[in-house]
Amino acid sequence: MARLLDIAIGGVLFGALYALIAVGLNLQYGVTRILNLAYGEILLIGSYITYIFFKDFRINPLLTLIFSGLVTSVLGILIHVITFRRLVLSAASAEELEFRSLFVCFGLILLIQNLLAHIFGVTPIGTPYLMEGVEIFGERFKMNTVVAAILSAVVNAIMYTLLRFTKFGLAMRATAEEPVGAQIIGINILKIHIASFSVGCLTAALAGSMISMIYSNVTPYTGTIYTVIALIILVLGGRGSFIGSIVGGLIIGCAYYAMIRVRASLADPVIYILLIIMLLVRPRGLFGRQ
Amino acid sequence: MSRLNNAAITKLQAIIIIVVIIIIAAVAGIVYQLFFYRPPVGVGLPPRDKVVVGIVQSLSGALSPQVTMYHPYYKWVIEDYNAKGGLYVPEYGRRFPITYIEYDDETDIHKMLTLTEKLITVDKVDLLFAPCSTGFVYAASSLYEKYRYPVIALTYGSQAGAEKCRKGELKYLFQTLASPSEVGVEVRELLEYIRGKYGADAVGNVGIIYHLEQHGVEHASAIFGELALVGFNIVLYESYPFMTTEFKPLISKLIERKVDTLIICGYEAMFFVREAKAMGYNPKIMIVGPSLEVPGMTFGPLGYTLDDVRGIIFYDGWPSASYTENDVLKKWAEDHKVRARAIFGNEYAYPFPAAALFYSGLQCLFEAVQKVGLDREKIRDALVTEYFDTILGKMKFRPGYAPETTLGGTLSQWQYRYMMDTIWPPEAKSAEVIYPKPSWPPS
Repeated sequence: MARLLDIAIGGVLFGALYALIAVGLNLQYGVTRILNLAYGEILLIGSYITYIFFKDFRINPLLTLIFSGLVTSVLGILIHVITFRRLVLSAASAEELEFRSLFVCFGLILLIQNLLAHIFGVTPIGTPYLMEGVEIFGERFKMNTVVAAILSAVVNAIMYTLLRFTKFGLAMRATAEEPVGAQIIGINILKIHIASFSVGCLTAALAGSMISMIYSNVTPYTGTIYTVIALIILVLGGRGSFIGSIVGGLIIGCAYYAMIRVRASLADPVIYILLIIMLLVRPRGLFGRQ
Repeated sequence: MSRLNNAAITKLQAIIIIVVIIIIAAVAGIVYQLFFYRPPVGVGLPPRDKVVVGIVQSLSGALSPQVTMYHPYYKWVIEDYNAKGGLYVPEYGRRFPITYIEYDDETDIHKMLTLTEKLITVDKVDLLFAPCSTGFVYAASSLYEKYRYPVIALTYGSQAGAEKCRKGELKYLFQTLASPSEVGVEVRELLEYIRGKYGADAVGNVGIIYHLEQHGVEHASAIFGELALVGFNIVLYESYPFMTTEFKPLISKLIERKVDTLIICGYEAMFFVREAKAMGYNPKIMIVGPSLEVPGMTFGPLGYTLDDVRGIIFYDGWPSASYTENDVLKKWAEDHKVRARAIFGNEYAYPFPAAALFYSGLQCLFEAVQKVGLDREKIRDALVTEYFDTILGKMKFRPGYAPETTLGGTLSQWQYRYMMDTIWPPEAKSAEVIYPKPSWPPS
């Protein structure tokens, strides 16, 4: 019973953070049709911003969340305007845009990795904060993991509200579902693209800040891990589906945590097995559109 | 006239005298050539103005942090020999400055192999330094054998490789770190000592966890074998993903199974300790692999304090130094703190237990050149037959085993200063083992 409780609570805590990681990438891909493979590297920018404020100015990592999110969202606007906007304007089809943007993303990955390595070095960093244990129904977890899960849930709720109940969110959903139709009714999809990309970068940075608080193994080269996690959740939950990202994140979080509990060496393979099963059985994901 | 004729030698006598002179001259010449002649140095040898060392290592990618922490000694040993005027090469009878050609393998093993071969066949370097990590070095060993380059490997500890070295299948690879089978013996001996000194229950239940990579698998297997042989109660033997940071589920298992002695074979103790502290799991004995032994890293970027790590035992850095053995090592440790500050950016840049060993291994290579020259077969033979003066005293390599050194222990422990103390074997220890491991300090 204790083991099941541990898996249930741990899975939810992990899943919440994974869901946040996936929401941003799903939003970017769903609206702009750009599969941002440099997503993990942008997440790392958030980690490093938090690290600098904590190390040099001893500022609480939770407070730096706002700043890292803002900085990275502005960076997202710049990246989109300088690199992807031209691709969007010149691509003859969505498939061509996706194909060409992949190569731009590879370039971004190398650029960001090398910039971070040059500025911060390659030694692993972290901002260990709220490391004390807290008991939840008799099971002990790190305080920062619990706080990260709560914050992730709050951010996801805000995102859902934004997408569901605001005009801006409506415009985003319209652009994602029917870009031509959205243009016809007067939505400036280029601006929506930029905004979506920027919001995606913001959520990535928030996740990155929280990851650096929980783990101390952040290096310029660990971004790929998070991109892969986000991609797996995107496939599992369905492209363009916010609910899919949340549910997918919880499934992956629970599966990963459960496997670590049972047999740690099988934790990574299980996630990939889930991915393969989903691709074979239901390629559009749990909540993806047909 | 007749007196003159009587004194004159005959023709025959003259011929005999000449022949004798020629024979004497020939014998003298042969004796001189064989026993006294020394040709002018450098004659017949290609012109040279430097000694070139080739280095391929991971300056970027996942292994780059390890290179930063464990391989600065490559440049240091070159700088130190150049400060003395360079490397003496007996064939030329003079010193040459040492330069190096360095390539970044970007933590790609295939790239490492290609670049190593380039250093050998295109750049034609005189000497080679090894890449970082067991897997990379083991892969490169085939090139060392093919091209006959003796190489001193620092961050390398493979049982499979050690067996090959012992059988003579790998003649050109020299390890500095002990092989897993040797580590297993030392860990067993320490635990037996603790059991003998503190009672039968002192060690209690043993848990061995290891990462799924060559280092973890081989060390865990060796330690398990040694402990099981003498009846230690191993209640958990489990692997975890390489470089995982999430240990909470595993720690729950350790608590459930009441593991008192925990052995972590891998590089992840730096993450484990945080999790264990948060969950309140504090084993009586904790023995870990490479990760928390570098002071500049542990007390710098990782953010631990001495109270956090006190009592943690480290198995992978031997022959190890505590830097209290003699004035040479004490001074070297102080210099290390100054030199390595640029790497870590903090005041904790003291050497870790194997730092002196790494430096000494490279010293042996250069000393071998100074003794026998740049003929790599002669260097290789000298490394296994000769003792060389290093900062760890006299040092000699033993193929497939940890090198023999005058100074140095096997197991180290964090105690009361910013360098680890040697706690085993008894004849090399700088301090008595702290048992049990102190409680975690409050956060």
